[in-house]
Amino acid sequence: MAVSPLVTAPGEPSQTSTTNAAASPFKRLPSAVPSSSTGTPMLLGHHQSQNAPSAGGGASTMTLDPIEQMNETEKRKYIKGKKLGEGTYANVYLGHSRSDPSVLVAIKKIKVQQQYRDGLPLDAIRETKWLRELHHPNIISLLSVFSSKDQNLNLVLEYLPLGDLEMLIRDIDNVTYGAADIKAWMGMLTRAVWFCHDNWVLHRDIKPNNLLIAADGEVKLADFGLARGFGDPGYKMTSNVITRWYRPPELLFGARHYAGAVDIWSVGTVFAELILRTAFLPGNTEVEQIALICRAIGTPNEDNWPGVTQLREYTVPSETFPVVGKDSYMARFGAVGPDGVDLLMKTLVLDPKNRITAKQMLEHRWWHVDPKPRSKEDLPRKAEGGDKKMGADLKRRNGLVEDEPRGQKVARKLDFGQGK
Amino acid sequence: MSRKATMGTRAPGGMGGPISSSSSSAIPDIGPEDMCPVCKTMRYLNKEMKFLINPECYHSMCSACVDRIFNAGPNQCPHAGCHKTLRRKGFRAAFFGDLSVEREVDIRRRVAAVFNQQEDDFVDLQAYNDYLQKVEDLTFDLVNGSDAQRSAAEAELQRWEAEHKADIERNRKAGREADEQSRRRRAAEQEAVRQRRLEAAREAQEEKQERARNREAELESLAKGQVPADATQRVQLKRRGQANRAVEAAAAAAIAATSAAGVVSSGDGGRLSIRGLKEKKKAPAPEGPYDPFGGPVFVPTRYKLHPALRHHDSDRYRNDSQHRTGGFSFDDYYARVMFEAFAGLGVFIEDEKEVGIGLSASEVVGMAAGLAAVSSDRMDLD
Amino acid sequence: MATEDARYRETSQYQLWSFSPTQLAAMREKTNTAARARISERLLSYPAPPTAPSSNNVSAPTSNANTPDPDGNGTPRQPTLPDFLTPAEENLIVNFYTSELLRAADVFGFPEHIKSTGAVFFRRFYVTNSIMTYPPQEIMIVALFFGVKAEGGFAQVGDFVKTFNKKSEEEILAGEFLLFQGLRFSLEVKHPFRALRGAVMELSALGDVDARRVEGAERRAREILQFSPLMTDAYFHYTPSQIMMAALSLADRGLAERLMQKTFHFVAPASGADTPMSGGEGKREQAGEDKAAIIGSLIRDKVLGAIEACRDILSKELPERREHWTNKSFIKSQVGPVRKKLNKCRDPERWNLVELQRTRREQASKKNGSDDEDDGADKGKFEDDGAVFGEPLSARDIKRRKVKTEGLQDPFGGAL
Repeated sequence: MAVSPLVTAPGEPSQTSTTNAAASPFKRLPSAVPSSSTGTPMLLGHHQSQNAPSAGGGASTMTLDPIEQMNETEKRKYIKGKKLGEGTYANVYLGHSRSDPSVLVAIKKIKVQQQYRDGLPLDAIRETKWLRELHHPNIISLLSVFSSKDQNLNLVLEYLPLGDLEMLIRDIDNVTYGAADIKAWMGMLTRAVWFCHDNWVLHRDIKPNNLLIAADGEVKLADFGLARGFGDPGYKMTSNVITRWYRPPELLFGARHYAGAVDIWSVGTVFAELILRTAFLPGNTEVEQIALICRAIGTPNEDNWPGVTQLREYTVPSETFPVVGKDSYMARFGAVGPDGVDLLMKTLVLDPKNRITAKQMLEHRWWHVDPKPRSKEDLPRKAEGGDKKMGADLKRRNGLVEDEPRGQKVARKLDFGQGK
Repeated sequence: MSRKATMGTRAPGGMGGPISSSSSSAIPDIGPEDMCPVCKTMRYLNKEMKFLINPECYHSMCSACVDRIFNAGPNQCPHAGCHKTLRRKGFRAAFFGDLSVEREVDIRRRVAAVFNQQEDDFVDLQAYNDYLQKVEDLTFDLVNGSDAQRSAAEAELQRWEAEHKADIERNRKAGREADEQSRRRRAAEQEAVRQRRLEAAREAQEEKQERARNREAELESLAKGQVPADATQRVQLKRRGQANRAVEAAAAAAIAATSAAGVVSSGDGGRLSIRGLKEKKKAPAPEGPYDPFGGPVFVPTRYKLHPALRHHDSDRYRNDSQHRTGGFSFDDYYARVMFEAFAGLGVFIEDEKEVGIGLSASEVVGMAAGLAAVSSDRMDLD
Repeated sequence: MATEDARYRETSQYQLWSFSPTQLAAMREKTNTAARARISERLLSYPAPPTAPSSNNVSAPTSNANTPDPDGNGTPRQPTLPDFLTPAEENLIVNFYTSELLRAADVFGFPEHIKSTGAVFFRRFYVTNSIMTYPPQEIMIVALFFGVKAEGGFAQVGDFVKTFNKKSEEEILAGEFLLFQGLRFSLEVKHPFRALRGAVMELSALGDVDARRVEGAERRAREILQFSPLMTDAYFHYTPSQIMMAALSLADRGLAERLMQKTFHFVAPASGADTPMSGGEGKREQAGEDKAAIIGSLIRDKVLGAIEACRDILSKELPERREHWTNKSFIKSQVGPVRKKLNKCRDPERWNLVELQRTRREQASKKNGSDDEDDGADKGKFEDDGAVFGEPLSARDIKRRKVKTEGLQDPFGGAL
């Protein structure tokens, strides 16, 4: 597709002959690299005619490094649209693929050029690193990465328009869901975590807020800003990860060597929250968090968790509670049935050694008893006026036809005759 | 002034004859200068000046000129070089500012009136696409073609119309009905939506009350030292679910009523009315059992994980309480080192990447993926 | 079916940073040529002394990259171009600085995977960027720094400033985003170290191998892996497990062969031997088994071939060569001349990373508001090449830059 040359301000004689070339970097790519044996560029004659190069005169004919060319190619694959969100750390824009405008994307521009003390921020680095490697239907897709003109990091992510799970959980008035829905969501979440662990990656920030919903109802795990690869033996990791309400006791007690069990605990608390429709263990401080865990699940001690008192930040309230039994769980969480409660309890085991693993979770029988998990298209959606159909309608009128997979591929046939 | 009884070159049938090449290359825009090209009146002299065009030649002039020149009967187009005979009643306002667009739209309208088959008239996609291609080719010739091409296209148009008169009429009727359908359906949906909203509001209200009542009951029973029935929670959720289903059923019924005519509509494509190909059966996807893993699980083929796998360097941490208590998993670690020892042993980079010579990086990836599929089959047999 | 190999093919290391030798050479050639072209343009675009031919030949006086004008006081209007580095010379510099990077990492005491990631970052960067464009001695430091961060560690800029004797933190950080981009934003580097552990464990589990022997082999193999693959192009042409097997083979050929035999051993199911590659559950037809046997041995031979080839590459840079790369006379006679050449032909606009970053940031903030391209307006079409990386620098801008004489004297930084 031809790029129309930019008509620059007239009167700059040095620019006229370079304008056309400059406006279309594609012209640079194959032929512009003069590979004569002496290395003298073809523009030699042109430069001689100048007396003084005007601003940008010489450099606007700059040949791009291969890496810059690659970046430019990546960048041009997407067209950036309106701003969806803004923050000090990053802006998010809606965008679409140039070759197929129905493919919507979210372009997250991370402002790395701010003067951070220690250079590029670690979470931008981690997010880029892990999303580049992990590809799974229940993990947000990173479609591309490029740097923009202003030297900022742009992550092109799949567009997930239906908000996050937290929104659905909290919107008691407009959104209703039942055991089948919970099962479906839990399946998606567990699969995402299982995939991460299968690839030896810890997510370390699982919470409903980071579970985004795609247009077809699929839940996707996002925000890998705290993720890291599994540790090797002897290699210390930080215990200061995972949002407090979803943080497992071993991290609250300062453990430096841990495993996927930390994510499983988070999954368990999310499970509980889905059922209760409010946060399960909302502690305001770490001490309070421990207290809540003790009360709701049981106080960790050498009996139920050998060695726990040796953890460097071990501390528990003086009033101790025994480990809570199934009856109690059934009372609160019975909505998902005895198998569901069994699974929930296994994720909330205090001793991480004995906590269920993601793989084992997926092998649990809860998935195969009634009710069957709701199919994703039928899952409850973010409500506008309390009705998902209405929401879909509004979206369609805005030109987003993501609900109709066929619609994306068929151009609307303009009606020239009949309807007029 | 005598009327010029000139005979226009009118082709039989159809609204307008072929447009002469001289005019087709010189269709002027109604420029922003707002000056009538015929009488040269400027807009500031007549604020309400309207421009009309005649589809014979798409030349525009102000309504005053039209009246003046053509009131007395058919006359020659006043634009220099255009010798078409125009009639007063042929004039109308143009919809588009760009008259070439106006002309094209008129042509398309004409063509669409004759070529009005829908996708579900075709058995397979190829046939439909061929039809669309044919229509486009015809249209292109009419819009942009040379004189010869245009007259050939016009002839084809006439021929088709004559040949398929019955079908054309049928399709036209069907089109009108479909419009009526979607209008009705839209109304029904909105009604359903309203119902649902009301229902949800009502239900929420009831639930709140129910919850309040239950809480009281719980407190009471707690006070009396009884364990609260676990039935209440389940009941609440079930009620919500039931109510949901009831409302959905009502909405579905409303929709079903309006689509009793049986026009196939896949999914909820009310607006776009994409009907799909003829005879395409939209069977519901066969519902197999739920697979929690969502696909195949990785199983090592080159090694096995067994308890005999040990290494003193790592094992010395096994007894470290910090590792044990924190939940560090040696199983995970051993699985990982074994995996890394064998993953990629059979990946031959030089071969696989060479296949992609001259291709872009993404194409290389695509080819490599294809290779992977092939070689992994081979690997399985190992 | 997700076999081990299929999994490896999904990594960015395989997809973006693995090449055949021909491809890699072509890429380096292209990089070299592009750099020559651009630097030439840049050098030639500086205003020649306007009227008096005998005037001072200071054309861009305050640039810290001396525009070469070897003919003395400006007789020619057009400065002659310097001799550019050849791809082979670039390679020499890359290898030299990789060795320096590894030495620096030892000073810090970084674990093996961080050292190696830094080294791999460094080498990858100079596949698509030229030594003439960006100073290797700076990029080396950035690569190490960034490597720490990418591997989940925490890098303190202050430590780097101290160890490398820098004036400011800015000097360490200036090249970071550049490096990130040069790596095509893919940061996960797969190393052979864990693979070695796995191989050793598998060998030990065989039960009939001398534990001491295995220990010795592991030690030597690990020593090799911490140096040899990084000093060659092994990471581009072979997978980590292949590199590991090659190193193991160099350390103890017999053990490596034993392991390969075990892995690719095909045994008829009747024997019931519990080998991982055994083809069947005992239910296959004989013909199928034969076919599998043939394919199995073909694969095995191919793998062996790859490992042999990798072995050859590694054996050119065994750990004993560390001394060679730090040998003063070698440096003087081989590296020195290339450095001199580099002094004359480097990219005047980009050589100073701190200035480069500052200028780009200035331009970026000048365009404030335009970085929010709202409402789908595709301004992308109208950028010119230079605008990809901020506005093109004019001669005026270059003049405005301060001279950094300290940097000039020893362009490769002080001794470590």
